[in-house]
Amino acid sequence: MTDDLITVLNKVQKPARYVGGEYNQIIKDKKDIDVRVAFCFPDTYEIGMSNLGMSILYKTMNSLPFIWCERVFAPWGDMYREMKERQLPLYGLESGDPLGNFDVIAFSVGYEMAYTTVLDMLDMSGIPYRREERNDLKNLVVAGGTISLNPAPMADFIDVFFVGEGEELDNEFLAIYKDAKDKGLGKDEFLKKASRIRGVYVPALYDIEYNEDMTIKRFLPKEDAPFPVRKRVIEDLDSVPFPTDPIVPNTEVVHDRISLELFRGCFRGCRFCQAGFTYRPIRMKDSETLRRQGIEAVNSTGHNEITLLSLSTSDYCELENLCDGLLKFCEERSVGLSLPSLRVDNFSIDLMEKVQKVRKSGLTFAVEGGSQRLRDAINKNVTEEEVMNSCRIAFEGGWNTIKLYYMLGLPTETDEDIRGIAEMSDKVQYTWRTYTRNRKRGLKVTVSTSCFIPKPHTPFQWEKQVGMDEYLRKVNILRDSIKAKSVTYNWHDAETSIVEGILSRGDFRIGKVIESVFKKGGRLEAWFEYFDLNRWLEALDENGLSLDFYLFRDRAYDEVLPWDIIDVGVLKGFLINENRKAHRNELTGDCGERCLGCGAFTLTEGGYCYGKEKAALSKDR
Amino acid sequence: MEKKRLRFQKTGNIAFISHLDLMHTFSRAFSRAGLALKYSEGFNPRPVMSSPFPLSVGQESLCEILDITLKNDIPDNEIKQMLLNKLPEGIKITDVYDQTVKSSLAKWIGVQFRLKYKQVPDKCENRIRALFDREEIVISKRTKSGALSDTDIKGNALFKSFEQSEDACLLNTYLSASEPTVNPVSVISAFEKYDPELVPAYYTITRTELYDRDLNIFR
Repeated sequence: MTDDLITVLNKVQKPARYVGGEYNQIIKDKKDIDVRVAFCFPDTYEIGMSNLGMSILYKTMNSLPFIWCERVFAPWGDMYREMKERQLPLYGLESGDPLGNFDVIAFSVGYEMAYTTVLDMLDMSGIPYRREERNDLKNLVVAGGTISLNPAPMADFIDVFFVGEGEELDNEFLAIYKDAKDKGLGKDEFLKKASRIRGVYVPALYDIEYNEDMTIKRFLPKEDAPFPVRKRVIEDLDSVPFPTDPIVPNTEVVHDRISLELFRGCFRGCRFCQAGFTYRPIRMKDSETLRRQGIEAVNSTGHNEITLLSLSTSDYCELENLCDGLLKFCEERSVGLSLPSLRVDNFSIDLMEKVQKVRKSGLTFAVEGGSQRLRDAINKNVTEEEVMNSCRIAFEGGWNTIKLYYMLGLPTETDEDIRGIAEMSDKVQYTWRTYTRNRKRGLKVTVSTSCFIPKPHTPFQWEKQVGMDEYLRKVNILRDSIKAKSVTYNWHDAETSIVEGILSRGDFRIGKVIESVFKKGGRLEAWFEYFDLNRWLEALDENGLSLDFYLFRDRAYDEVLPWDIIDVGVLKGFLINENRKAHRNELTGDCGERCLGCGAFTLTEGGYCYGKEKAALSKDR
Repeated sequence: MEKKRLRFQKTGNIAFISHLDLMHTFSRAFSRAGLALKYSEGFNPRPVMSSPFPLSVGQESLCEILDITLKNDIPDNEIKQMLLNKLPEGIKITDVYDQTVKSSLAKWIGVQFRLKYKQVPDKCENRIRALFDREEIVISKRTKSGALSDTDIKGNALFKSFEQSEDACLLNTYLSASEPTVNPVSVISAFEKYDPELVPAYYTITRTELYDRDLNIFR
């Protein structure tokens, strides 16, 4: 560590974030290494170190003997200023070496608001952020995560996008990178080779033709590049390595615990949910594998909490089995087990009583829509009766804090639907009064709303987003109709939603906007301290682009969408059909009951989808 | 006896983790090692564990102590063995023994300053000695409420030795560990106030040894 860095670290808040050295970090001898990877997370250490994907792929890449993969996070404002002032470049936490020394700069990007931080991290390292300005094979910039679901906005900056799950793809890519480096191949030649790997999208290999209205006319692949680029998935989750010895941070991070992933994909098909459509097909992990990995991970880290992750915990096929298997171990070792995104029914209340030794925390329901009609339109397969039934069970069980989540601005929503949210919270209060065991303790209901953002690869990808004024009008309707004393209403501001909306469904021209915002000082914009809507509006204006084009128009089914270059496995016809059904308020239902033929099963070699198998079984019965 | 005292070093990058974070780190390390600590009673049970002289963030130490109470009696060298390879880089257990004296009986900490100058000040050693020999060494400290208050560290900060090596000057001192606690940074503040040329371009601070009131090594 240089004297300058030591001086800086003595001045900034929480310097532990910037020094590495944690238990289980991977140190290798540079002599044995052919390819060095800087694995960058465009947010703070506390956020990045809580990310399971990051933890998995760190171990995956380091399992190759010729690779050394190190972690890099974005410094907080005080550290950023000090580093800029002393011209200290961004460095890998393991070696302390500047990013410029690395062969591959790999970004894991999970949300749109991190895009400017990607540019910033490259800039802090003295690496040109525009891909055309990087001519060598060295410092190749790659990215994966949800950024690849619509790569268009970031296509000016990223050399290679990884589409889908990385456990196999990343290492296949690194193997051919090593080969190219050994042979002294140039960047262009290497990119051509890389584009042959399934799941790799190389933006340099495509031209784009526009219509007069600046919608896309067509993509023109060059050099036999694939079109579309098909998402990679892991066929058998039990067979890929899972890090049971993850890094144990030396300082507090957002999630200080062991995460076990139960399954990938989701049966539910809520029409607004990007994860629900893009993580398909459904693949379960074996409960015995999970139990073993959970125990191993606790032993090797010393953590005292395990959390079970998935899009819908209750849908895990062996939940009871797994919990029983883990419970004995957890009790002996005073390890807590937490089950987020659990549907509330008698079974789950029993389960929670068993596993959660801690105080009864609040229960959260994602209801999403305020009327049955609207919930049908978004295919949120939840009835008011079910919610009230869950509340009753919870109140009888002694809970007295309930959180209800909704979205405002969903397609087909009317003012009546919004008032329905208030009515529903009244009913929750009534249910509590009827069933609580202890009225003296009082009830606390929190209603939260966020602004709906249409996302690529969902049935709502063609819909318009509501503007800030309209969102606030809706917020006011709801605020005025909530009368119950025990109800608190929180709403997320719509400013970030506007920017998230532009970036989610942005095209290849949005790169210029991201660049302008970065130049105006945009970084770490997922943090309200650093977010500024005006920068974005100015940047759009300077580049002759409008919110109307990106947010406030209906797209036709036959419009070529910027993300059509990516095939997540779900057929477009399926999405169109789902969109039509939404406008007819028609439910589609759960794909564990009847396979709906979304097409995602074709992503696996064996044509496997757990939902499809389960549906076939229940039909036989 | 279940009450044990661990001596450990905290050197290198890990100097930048806070006292509280260090306590969490130890608690997880004990869990990894399968070393069961006794828990406190009450609503929020915590492992019985204390490190009596919290080290400031950024400072290194060769002489930290951590007092723990174990659930079961385990031989000292076995404890040391169990913790081997269970701690993050930079934390090293050097000794394990029974708590026979209260940690509050430690009075002095040997503190070494590694001072790096662009150009070493003329008669550096004499000037530093002179500073420690003053009648009073009053420095301004910011209190918790944010106001400035003056403290005289004379008598609680003692000069031990000075040597000039190739790339740095090493100043060794004895600083009072408690009642009052003298933060090593006070010495740099004193330079600033009485002889600003002595303020180095860069410096690092390392605790070297713990002593009782008579300057005998404390165990």
